[in-house]
Amino acid sequence: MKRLSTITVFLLSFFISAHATCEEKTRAEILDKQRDEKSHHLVPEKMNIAQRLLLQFENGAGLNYKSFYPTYGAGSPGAGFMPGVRFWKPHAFGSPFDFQTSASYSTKSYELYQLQFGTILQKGPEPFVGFGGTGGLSTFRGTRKRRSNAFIYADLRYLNFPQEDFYGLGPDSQKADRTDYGLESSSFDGVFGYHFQKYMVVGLRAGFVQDNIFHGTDSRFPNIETKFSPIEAPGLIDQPNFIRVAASTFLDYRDNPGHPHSGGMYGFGYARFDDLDEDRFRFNRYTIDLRQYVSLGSVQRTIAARFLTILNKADQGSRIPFYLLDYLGGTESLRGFPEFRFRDNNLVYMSAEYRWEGTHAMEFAFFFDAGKVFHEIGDFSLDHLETSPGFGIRFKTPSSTMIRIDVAHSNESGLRYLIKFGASF
Amino acid sequence: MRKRSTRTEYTVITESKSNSVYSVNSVFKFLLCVLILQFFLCEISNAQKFYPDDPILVDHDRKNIPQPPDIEVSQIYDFSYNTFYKTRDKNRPPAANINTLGEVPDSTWFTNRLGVRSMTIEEFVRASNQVEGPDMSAPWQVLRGKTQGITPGCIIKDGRGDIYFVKFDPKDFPQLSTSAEVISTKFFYAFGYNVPENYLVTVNVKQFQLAPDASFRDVDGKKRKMKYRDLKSIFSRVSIAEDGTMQIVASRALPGKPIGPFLYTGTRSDDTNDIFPHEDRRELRGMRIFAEWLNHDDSRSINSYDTYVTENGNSFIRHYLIDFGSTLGSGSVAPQTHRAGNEYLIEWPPIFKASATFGIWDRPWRNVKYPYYEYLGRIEADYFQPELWKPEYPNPAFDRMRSADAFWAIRILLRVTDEMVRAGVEAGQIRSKDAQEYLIQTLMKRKQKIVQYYLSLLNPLDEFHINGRELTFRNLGESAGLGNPESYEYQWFVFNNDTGETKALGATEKAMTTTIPVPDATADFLMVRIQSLTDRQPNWRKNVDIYLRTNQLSSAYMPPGRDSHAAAWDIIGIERAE
Repeated sequence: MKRLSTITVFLLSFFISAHATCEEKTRAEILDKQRDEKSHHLVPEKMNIAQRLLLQFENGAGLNYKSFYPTYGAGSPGAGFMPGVRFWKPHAFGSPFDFQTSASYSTKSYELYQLQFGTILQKGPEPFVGFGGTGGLSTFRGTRKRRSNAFIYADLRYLNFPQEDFYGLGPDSQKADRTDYGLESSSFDGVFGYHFQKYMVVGLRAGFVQDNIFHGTDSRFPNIETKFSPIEAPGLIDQPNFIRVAASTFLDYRDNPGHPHSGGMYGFGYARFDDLDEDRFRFNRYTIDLRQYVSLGSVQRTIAARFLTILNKADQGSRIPFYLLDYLGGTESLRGFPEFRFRDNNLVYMSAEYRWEGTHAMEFAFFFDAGKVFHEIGDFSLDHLETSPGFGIRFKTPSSTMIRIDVAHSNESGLRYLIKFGASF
Repeated sequence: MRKRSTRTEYTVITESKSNSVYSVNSVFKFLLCVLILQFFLCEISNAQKFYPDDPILVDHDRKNIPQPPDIEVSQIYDFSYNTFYKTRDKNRPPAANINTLGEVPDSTWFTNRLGVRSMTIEEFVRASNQVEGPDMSAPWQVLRGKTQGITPGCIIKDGRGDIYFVKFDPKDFPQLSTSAEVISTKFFYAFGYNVPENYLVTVNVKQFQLAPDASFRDVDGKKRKMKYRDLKSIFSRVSIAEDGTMQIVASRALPGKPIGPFLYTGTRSDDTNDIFPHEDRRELRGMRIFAEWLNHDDSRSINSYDTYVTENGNSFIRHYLIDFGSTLGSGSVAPQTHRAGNEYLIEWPPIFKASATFGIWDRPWRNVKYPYYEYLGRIEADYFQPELWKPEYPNPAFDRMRSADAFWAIRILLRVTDEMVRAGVEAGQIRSKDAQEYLIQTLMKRKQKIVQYYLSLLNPLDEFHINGRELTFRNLGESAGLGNPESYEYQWFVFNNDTGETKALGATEKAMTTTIPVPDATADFLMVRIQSLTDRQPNWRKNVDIYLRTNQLSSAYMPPGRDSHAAAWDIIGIERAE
C-alpha cells in the first residue's frame, strides 16, 4: 500500500512538473525573463569623478571660474615656475573691446601684472605661455587675427624680477662673473596694428617705460654692483625713464603657426628708445627674425631653421642700459648655456633643428644652436660663435607645442636639462 | 479501566498522530519529487537549442521603464578609456543579440530594411524624413546658439513650430560636411539604423532671427542671453556665398526626451531593456563595415543619441546614430586628414617605428594622393584597405567584429545597388558634377573591395530556401566574382534539439550546383553541413550548418500567410564556422 502510494506520488508529480513552472517555453519568454531579472537590479547610470571633471573642462568651464583662468610660465626665463591667474572678458561691458588682466607670482618671488583693454590679439581664454622676458620688444610671437583686420589696445605692465643675472657685457664675459640684480619696470603702451590678408601684420607700439634696478635677492651670487661698474654695466646707477616707440611687421605663412611643418615667418622690427631724464641713453634697435620650415618628403620630418639678429645703435654720446639688452643663453637660445649668459649691444643667433614626429602629439628633435654677442654693429660676423647641440622631446596639440623637454650641451656648462612651455621657435 | 482507556486514548492519539505524520510525509515527498523533476525537466528544456518561436524577428525591448537621467560623455574620457584600457580586451565572443539565423531582430536599436526587402529609390532617398524640410515661409527663430566646440551651430524653430538643429559648412569648404552628412544619413537609414531627419537646405542668412529668449553658450562654456553679434560670430565661421546664401543641414529634433549618447561598451545600468552588452550587438559590430565604406571615422559615442519615448503606453529608450558630418571626404571642419581611416589617433606600433628610425620610416598612407575637389575633401578607393580601416580611436564593438558579424553587414551592403549609390550621392547636391561622379565611382570601388575581402573570410553561402524537397542557396562570393566553387560538399544529420547531438544521415555527398536534396527522414530536426570547394578560396571550406525543423511542430508559430502544407521543413537556424 505504502509502495503504491509512493508510486502514485511520483507519477503525479511527474505529470505536474512536465506541464508547469518550467516557465520559458519560447525565446521571447527567455528574453523577457532576463529583462525582468534586470529590472530588480537597476542602478542609476552615473559618471565617475574623472568623467565629470573632464566634461567640465571640455565644456569650457573646467579651468576657469567666472572668467578667471590659470596661467603659467609667463615671466622671465629666470623666474622658475610662475603660475598666475588671468581675468579675461571679451566684449567687456557690452562694448566691442576686450578686457584682460593677469597676475603671476613665481617660486623665486618674481611678480608680473598686466592689463590690456581693446581689441586684444591673443587667441582666446586659454592659459598663456611664453610672455616676453626682460629684453624689450625684440621677439615675435605669431598672432592670429581674431575678429577684424585692425587691432588696438592699451597695454599696461608692471614687473618685479628680483633675481636677474648679469655676467658682464661682451662675448668674453666669464661664467665665474655671474652676478645678480633685481629689475622693477612699469610700462604704459598703446598698440595699434593691422592684418593685411592672411599672412602679414603691421604693428605700432608707443609708450612710456620706467625702470628701476635694485639689489638682487639670489644669495648664491654677488650683487651686480660688487663686480661691475657703471662703465661695465651702463644704467647701473641711474635708470632713466623712456619714451619707447616701435614698429614691426611680419609675414607668417607657416602652415600651422603653433606646429609648423612648412612655410616661414619673417619678422622685422624697429624701436626707438628716448631717455626722458638725462639724454645719455638714446638708441635705436633693429630686429630681424627669420624662421623657415621645410618638410623632408613628409610632414613627419621637418627641418626648422632660425636666424635672429638684434642690433642696437646708440646715439652719439649715449649708451644702452644693460638691463634692456637682449641676451643669449637659456631656454630660448644657446640652450647649453644658462639664462642671460651673453649680453652686449648686438647679437646674432642661429638655430637649426631636425624634427621628427612619432605621432602628431609627440615630436623629437636634434638641434644645434650657435650665436654670439658683439659690441659694435661693425663687428657683425659669423665667426667665433658659441655653440650648443642638443636633443629634445616635445608634446603638442594640433595648434601648439605644450611642453618641450630639451637636453643641451655646451663646453662651458656641460649638459643642461630644460623644461619649457611653448616651442623653441 | 482508566488505564485501558488511556491506553486506548493513547493508541488513538498515536494512530491519529501516525496518520497525520504519514500525511505530512506524503506531501513532503510529493513536493520534493516535483522540485527534483522540475529541475531536471527544466534543465533539459533549457538545454534545447531551438525554441518554438525561433527564429525571432522582433526583440521586444520596449518594456516600460522610469525616465532615466541625462548622461553626457566626456570625449577625452571616451578616447582615453577606449585607447588605453578597453583596447586591451582581446575577447571576441559571438554576437549576443542575434536570432538563430544569425540575423538581428528588429528592436529599438535597429530595424531591418534593405537587408530583408528591396527599397525603391524614392524610399531610399526620403530615408527617415517625414516632411519636406523646415518651413521657409517665415523667418526662423534662433533659440540657441553655440560657438564652442569645433563646429558652430544653432537650434531654430520654423514657422510650423518644428525644432531643428542647424549645422553649417566650415568657412573655406562649402558643402563639405553638409553634403556628406545628408548622403551618409540616407545609407545608414537604409542599412537599418535609427537616424535623424536631415534636410539639406539652401538658405539666406536673413532667414535667421533671434528669438526673444534665445540663449548662447560662449567659448567659456557659459550660457547667457544670445545677442545679434553672437549670430554674426557663428556666421563668421561658416561658409556663406557672396549672395548671402549657404547650404545647411537642418536636423529635425528627434521625438522623445534626449538623455545623452550611448556607449559602445557595456549596458545602461538603469535600462531594463538593455540586456546585451553593446560591444556584442551585431548591428554595432557590423556597423564597422558601413563605417569603412563611408569612411565614418567619427563613429563613437559622442555621435550617438538616446531618447526616452512613449509609445503604446510604454516608455523606453530608442537609440540613434547622429552626426555624419565627418564621413566620406569630410572631416567636419576641413577635409579628412590623411590619417583618417588609416591610423588611430594614438597607435603604438607606428609611433615606435617612426620614433626609433628618426622619422625615416613613414606611414605609407601619408603618400596617398587624393584628387582635389573643392566640395569633397579627401576620399579615395585605390589605397583603401578594408581590413586596415580604423576610426579615430578604438571602438569596442568594431574591435569585436567577427567574420559572421561582417558577413551580416556585407549581405546588406550587397543590396546597395549602383542606382542607390548614385541617388544617395545626388542627394548631397554637390555642385561639381565631376566631384559627384568621382564620389560615386569611389564608393562603388570601396564597396567592391570590402565585399571581396570579407566574403573571403568564411563560406559565403546565403539565401537558403526549401523548395519542395530541395534546399537551395546562393554563393555570394561567387556572385561577387571571387571564384566558382567546383562543387559543394554536404552531409545531413538528424539533430536532437534537446541534447544538441547530431547523428549522420548517410555519407558526405557532393553537389555541383547550389541545390541539394533534403532526405526523407522521420525526425523533428535536421541539420545539413555544407562546404564550398574551390582552390581560390580556402576559407570557403568552412562549415555552414543549416538547421531545419519539421513545420508540423511549428504550426503554432506559423508566420501569417504561410501555407502549413507547403513544405515539410522550415529553416530555423544557420551557423557559420569562423
